[in-house]
Amino acid sequence: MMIGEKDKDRPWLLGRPEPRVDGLGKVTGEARFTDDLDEVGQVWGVVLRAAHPHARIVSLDVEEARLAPGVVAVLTARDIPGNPFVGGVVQDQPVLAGTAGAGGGAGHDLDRVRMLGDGVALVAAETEAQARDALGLIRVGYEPLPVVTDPREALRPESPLVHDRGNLVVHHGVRHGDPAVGFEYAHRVYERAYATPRIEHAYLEPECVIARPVEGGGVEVVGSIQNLFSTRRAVASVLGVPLNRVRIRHAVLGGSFGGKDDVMTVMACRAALLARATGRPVKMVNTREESMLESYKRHPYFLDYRAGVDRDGNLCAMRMDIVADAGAYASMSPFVTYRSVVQAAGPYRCPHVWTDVRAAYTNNPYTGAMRGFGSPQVNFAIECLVDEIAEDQGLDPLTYRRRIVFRDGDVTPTGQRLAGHRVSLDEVLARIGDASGFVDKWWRYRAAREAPAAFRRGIGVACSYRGVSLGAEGVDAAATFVQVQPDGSVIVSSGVTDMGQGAQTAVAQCAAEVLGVPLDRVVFLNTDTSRIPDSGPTVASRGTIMGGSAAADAAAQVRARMLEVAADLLGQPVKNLVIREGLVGTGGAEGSFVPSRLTFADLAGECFRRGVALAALGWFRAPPTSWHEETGQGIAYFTYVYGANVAEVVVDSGTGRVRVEEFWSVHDCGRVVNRLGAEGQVHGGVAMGLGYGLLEEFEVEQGVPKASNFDEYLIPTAMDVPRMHVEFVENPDPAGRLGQKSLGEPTNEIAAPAVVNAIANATGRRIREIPATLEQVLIGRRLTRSGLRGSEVARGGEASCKVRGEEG
Amino acid sequence: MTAPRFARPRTLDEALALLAADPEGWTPVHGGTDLLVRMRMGMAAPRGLLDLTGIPGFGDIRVEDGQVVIGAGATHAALAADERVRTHAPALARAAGLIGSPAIRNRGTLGGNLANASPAADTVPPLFVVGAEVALRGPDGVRWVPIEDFASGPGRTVRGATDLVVAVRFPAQGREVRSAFERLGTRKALAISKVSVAVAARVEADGTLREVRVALGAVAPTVIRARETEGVLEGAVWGGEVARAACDAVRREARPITDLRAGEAYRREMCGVLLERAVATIVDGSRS
Repeated sequence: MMIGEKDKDRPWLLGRPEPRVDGLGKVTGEARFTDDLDEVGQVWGVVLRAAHPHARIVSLDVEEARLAPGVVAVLTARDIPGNPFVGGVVQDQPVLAGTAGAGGGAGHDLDRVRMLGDGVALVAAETEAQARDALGLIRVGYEPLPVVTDPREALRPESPLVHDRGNLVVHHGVRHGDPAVGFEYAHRVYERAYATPRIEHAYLEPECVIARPVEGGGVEVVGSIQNLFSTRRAVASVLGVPLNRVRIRHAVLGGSFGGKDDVMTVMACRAALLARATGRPVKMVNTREESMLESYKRHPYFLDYRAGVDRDGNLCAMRMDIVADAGAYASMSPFVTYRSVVQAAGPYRCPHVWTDVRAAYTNNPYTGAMRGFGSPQVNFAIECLVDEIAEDQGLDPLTYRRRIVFRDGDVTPTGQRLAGHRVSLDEVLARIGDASGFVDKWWRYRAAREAPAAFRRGIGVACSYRGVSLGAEGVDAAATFVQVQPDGSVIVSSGVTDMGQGAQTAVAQCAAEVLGVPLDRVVFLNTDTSRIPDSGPTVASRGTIMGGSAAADAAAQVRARMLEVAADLLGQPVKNLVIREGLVGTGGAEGSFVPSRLTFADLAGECFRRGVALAALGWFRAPPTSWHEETGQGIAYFTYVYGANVAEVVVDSGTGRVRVEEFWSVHDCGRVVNRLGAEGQVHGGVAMGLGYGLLEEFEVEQGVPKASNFDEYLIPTAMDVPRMHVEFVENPDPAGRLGQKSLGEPTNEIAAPAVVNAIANATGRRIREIPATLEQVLIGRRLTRSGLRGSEVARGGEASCKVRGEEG
Repeated sequence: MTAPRFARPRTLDEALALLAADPEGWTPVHGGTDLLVRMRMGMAAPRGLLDLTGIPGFGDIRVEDGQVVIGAGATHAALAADERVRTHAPALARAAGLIGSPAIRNRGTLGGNLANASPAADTVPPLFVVGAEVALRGPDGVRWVPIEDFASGPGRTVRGATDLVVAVRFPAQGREVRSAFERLGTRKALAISKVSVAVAARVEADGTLREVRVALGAVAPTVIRARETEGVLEGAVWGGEVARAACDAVRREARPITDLRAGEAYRREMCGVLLERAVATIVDGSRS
């Protein structure tokens, strides 16, 4: 950990509730989103999408469309100069599907559409209306193919193949101990099946890009893009040009939540193709309906959990079998399911854990990254299961969890010893228990269940541990560039992008902390792939730890050079000097600070006159991780964060309606960088998590989505969000240069089980499928669903609880 | 899609004249909260928009000759806040206050809600139970249509092509006859009703229910009266056996479908639950 050299553990600026640096522009309308931008001479690009969720394309005739009024270009797969496939992990997604002979390879033929959102042709025209009219003139001949929509069916040998190489996208296994041995001494064995829904990110701003052709065969793209470097790789590959010919920037983003990755990459590739073909700037904007149809979703999971508990109530064996619906393309499925397999057993001590997670191709909308990234599904399952076990053991769920959660030095199911940071889950649970009055309420509401009542109250808890950043998924390093101007103002630019989550404020605050200047002296520039090194994707809640640590590194380099000059000016040794609040001074023990008359601005001016380099590139490489593919053992993530949620609900016994009245969140995210931003993350994360638990499901029938806009796909409104109480347990972690870790996703991953557990406390009934809609809460299943969802078909009955020695 | 032509008449006569001259060429619009969405989705393509917002007094609410008369242009927000509506048709005030969100309540109008003829329209069940009539004005003058005869199916009404919905009226019955409205949506705001129930009744001193009217929303192609249920409640005292019989009756009378918002069986069940709550509101209110 590195703070100022004088006051290692006393940040002067970190933790302050500084207002977000982009806030004013957003409320005044000054902020410019991609759709607010236009280029001189631009044309509009639109996409013809598939008419079937699974079909072979036998003919494709675009001649009539080419002649339509205003049309400048019509492109098909044949017009792609480079690699026609994209994909962050597996290159299996065609930029455009085409007819046979248009290309392909690696077992992913190009002449097929695999989901309704697939693109078949592109049109560029002078106006958007002309471009859309021309779409109707394109003739596509389809030969429909059998559709597979249940990922478990997709894994059976007789299933239709979505990709020729097979429907299995990935299979991760964790083999820790031997559950066969563990179940031998189990006193009770619990077998439960859970299911979680496909959901939509529901970012406010639909996808949008503008691509402009530039000299040398390249393009410049501006868009609502989350992961600029991933997009750059794909655009360069599709155009067949080197990376330095493709420049990607982002405008102000209207939310992403993991959602503006692959879908933006595909859109950027399409716009780039049109820009190269027309020689003109091309703008593409999805309508909300196009966005919902085309964009990837959060994976639906089917989770079979089996847990053995010994006579003392400790978990002695766990066996988990999980299937994820990847939809038509792999996208981030291999990494999403990696996080699931690591965290499936929850933050609980258990000597014997075997977990299998498989992701399967189907003809559903493809699924990929969404806030949580494979954790909300497994957290729902394990947190509901542990809650049920607690009650069965005669304990309240909070006390039971405190008995079995990880503590310092415990070993996770991947064989990783939790060390080098404070394993604070017990502290977090104790805090949330006190704040919410959990134990007393839980017993009271449980007792009240006995009497009839129109409205029942319940309280529920859930907790989690979460690996920070990418873990053993891949390379984990990031850059931030810090420049001090001759007047002492500062420009920070980073490889970490801001999509509304507050990265620019957090990263700027890290730089300001180390430089010793107030935050209002810092300007943060949006990411530009040609001006900052590839810093990986802004995902996995890694912005503050990776971008912020790189900012601290850069700022420390510049500060060191400036202090040399200050030492000369003030006649003090460097080791005595401190910069704070824009003033240079001397620091003593215990963080005391005596300012001199030298300001940071004057010092910067003097450094400039002396030719001192006032800029530096900071680089932060994450500590090492490891992974053994066969056994699923290793240092899965370099450190972890801990959190707990408590929900208090009122259930309407007549209608099944659940009102969440009060909500508590306690997180240990390491050192809090910005308290306002951190609290904002919690509020937003909980609101999204409540939608997941109570309202949302992007239903798809035979590959056809049932909802196309927010009139039918309902997310929580401000009216549905409860009173929130947010607390932080701050244990600075040496993994982050300023002690910071992660918060964005932890806030979102346990709200659903907290609410569902609260419903169980109120009603005595356990819901194992979310969303817990009114019908689900009242009668235990959804009546709107045509046919039963997989888990009900597969099991055909109630979950079982076998008690050793009591079986017949 | 070519942009529709647009007219904003300054008087009702001017609006009617435009409509009479080219009945197919104009679609009346006020708040536009339904029509504009349908246009954007390609479900409506009017040749012309006849904007009624420029007609002075089109949304006035007044009481005359023992009737509450509400101009078609009255917004949901106005209905929810109006003291006369709250006194003479509390169910209507409550329903209007639950529609959509503040923005939608500030734009959407009673006339539009009626003309749009959604089976889930929240203002309609309350109008059923207060015995409302809808004024249609055409070239030959005004005719008053009982609310129960106004909608003929989802999105269909008896409004002629040269007619405008100009007003709604119902008896100013004061607090003598009470009414209540209950609805069930997926979330607290911006939710279309899965089921709605309106009830009106006079409660005698001994608790006997008189002049009972019950209407159900979102459980049939149009809002419907639940006459068998009314029969059970008429002359009865609310409680135990009566409540059970009334709930059974209302579940029988509902004819719901399964759609994205709710299942058929759930809707049927909820008619009973909401009926109980609505009647209880009326009975409790009579005691205070």
